[in-house]
Amino acid sequence: MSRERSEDLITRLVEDAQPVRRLAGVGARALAVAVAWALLAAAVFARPLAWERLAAAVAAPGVVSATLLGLLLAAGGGIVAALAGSEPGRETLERWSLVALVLGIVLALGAPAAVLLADPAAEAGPTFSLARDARCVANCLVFGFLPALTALGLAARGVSWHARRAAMAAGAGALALGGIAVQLACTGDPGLRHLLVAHASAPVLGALAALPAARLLARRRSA
Amino acid sequence: MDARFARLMAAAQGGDREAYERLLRELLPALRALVSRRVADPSLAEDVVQNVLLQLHRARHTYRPARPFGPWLRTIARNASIDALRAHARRRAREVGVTDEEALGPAHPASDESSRGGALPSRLEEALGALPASQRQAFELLHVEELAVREAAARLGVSAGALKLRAHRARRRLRAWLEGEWS
Repeated sequence: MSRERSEDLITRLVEDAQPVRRLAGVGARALAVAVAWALLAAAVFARPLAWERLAAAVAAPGVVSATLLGLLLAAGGGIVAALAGSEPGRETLERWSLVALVLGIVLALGAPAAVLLADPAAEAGPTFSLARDARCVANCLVFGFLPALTALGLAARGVSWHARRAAMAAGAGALALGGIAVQLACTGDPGLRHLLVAHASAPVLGALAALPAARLLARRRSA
Repeated sequence: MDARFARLMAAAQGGDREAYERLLRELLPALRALVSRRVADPSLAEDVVQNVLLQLHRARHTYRPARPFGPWLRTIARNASIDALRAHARRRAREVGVTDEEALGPAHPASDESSRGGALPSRLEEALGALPASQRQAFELLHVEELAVREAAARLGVSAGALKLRAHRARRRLRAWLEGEWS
């Protein structure tokens, strides 16, 4: 097979060089994901319940506050990790964001799980309802879908060398945003088990659901 | 130096080909030095350097002048080198596999079918050799070296469409040849 000299390759690449649209910064792209989430979450925040829940979580820190904080951490960490991972040279930011994502997931899942394990009688919520769990999981997907699409689309604009990691981080972050909206919108006393299964697990679900998108990111890189 | 490269890349992003050419030519010795530290074989090292250049070209829109140029370049160089070395290792593994099969052939008297399988690689090479050079190159870059379409097209200096057409014709000829062999 004929081998081409690198100098000749440079000549070809220069001939092919068209003006390009520069990739936006991580902050601007993360803001776009937040806006995509806010468009849907506006419906949640239009109801007084969300603000009451938020005020209660801030006023009396406990399991719910820890779960909300964990979801927030996971959302920020996941989205920023996916976007930083698509911009060469931002590995440090990506690494720290991944740490935030993992810590957020541990906090969100760990807080209710620890209380339930320590004292199973602490479950003060309604009796087991699969339908209620399923409804909240579906709502997490609904609230997280648009942010996930936005995050994946913006990550695909860049170059993701670790496509699987980027896709999972984007999915986890986006569904953590969905989990926050659901946590604030879920009517009645959700109970710890429901909180754990249907709200706090959203980032894990998101990471798994976004896995097939890794192929898209990998294809975009080699296209 | 970093600031100078950053300026040249910013100009290249705006379509300044002269700046882009100067940037790539000035970067080339540094890339060669960087790659040769990891890859001893000069021919493989040159392949890796070319892959780095292609990836750099493809990722040039991800550079933001507000950020330092060095870490951006090093990330691309590192990952493109790893990609190229992995592709090389896969090719080597396949070649070794084929050689083993051929070497085992006579020592393992087998059925007609498997002995035909053992003879196949060299005859396949024969069939590849019978293809027009342009089709053979397209086929080898896409299906043996497993390069992406744009990458392979850039290597041959043709458009992606032309490359796909050549590879398609090569596959059609090979398929026809294989059907003839097995019928």
